[in-house]
Amino acid sequence: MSSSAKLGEHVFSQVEKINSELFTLTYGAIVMQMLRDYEDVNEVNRQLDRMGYNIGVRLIDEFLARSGVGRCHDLKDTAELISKVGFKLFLGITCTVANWSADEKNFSLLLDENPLAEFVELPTTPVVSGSAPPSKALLYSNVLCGVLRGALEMVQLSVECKFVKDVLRGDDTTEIRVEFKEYLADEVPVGDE
Amino acid sequence: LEEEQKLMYGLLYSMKGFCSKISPDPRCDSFNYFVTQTYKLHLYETPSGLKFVLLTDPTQGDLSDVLASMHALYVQWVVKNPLCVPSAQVTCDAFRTHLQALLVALPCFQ
Repeated sequence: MSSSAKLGEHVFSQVEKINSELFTLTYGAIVMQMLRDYEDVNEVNRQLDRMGYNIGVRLIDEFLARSGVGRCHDLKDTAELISKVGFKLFLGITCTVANWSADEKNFSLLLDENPLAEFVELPTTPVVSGSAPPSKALLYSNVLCGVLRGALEMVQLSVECKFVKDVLRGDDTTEIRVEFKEYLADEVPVGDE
Repeated sequence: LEEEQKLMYGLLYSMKGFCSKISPDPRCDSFNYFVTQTYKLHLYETPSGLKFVLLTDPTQGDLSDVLASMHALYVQWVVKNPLCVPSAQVTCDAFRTHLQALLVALPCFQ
């Protein structure tokens, strides 16, 4: 087991757990309500990403406090920590890092299981007639993309995350593509002498 | 308090700049503490940019663990608190109480 996997197991053993079905059902209820409120599947996707972003901005501090890790040397370290420690700490699962691009700026996270989407089936009929049905267009777990984006932004990494494959939409695996955009420089507050 | 904050931020910024220049590892710009004749300043910085600063008398040892505990308290009472905006001043009473209790319980607190 790699050192990050061991760290993941260690921090996971120390954190309080909740019932996973409660978690899945609560998330499902949120998404269902959003579909009813917004009606447009694309808008729901955007809102899930925004919610995730707000969560991620705060989540990073808990991650850093619990895991005690310092700065990562490069993106590979970051990907390892996210997949083995981050996902383990907050969702109880680990995922695999794969499909590195040639310039090592983009990678994929492959999820074998997704606690958010246990026992979920997306409806094949459109919510509003004329629009795409949720089973094709809804990014059910899009909150995860927002969380990754928000959390990484707080450690000065600007990334874009999106789902490229999702078992809920009929693909064979769930895959999140993470694309590194740029390093954000520390900003000195205006007005300092 | 505002002035003190700016002064502190400027001081830490300059110290970190200094550290990154003299450090053998160019990426490393943080320090644990520095000592003067009248005080010792402990710094704990997280990769997310949070800085925890503790001022003690010069004879104290390394208090990084204390600062790490402060970070854990901060996460518990401020980060997880929907009413606390991260960039604003912390007004959460629970945080202050717990922090007070943590510091008073230290063996070096007089």
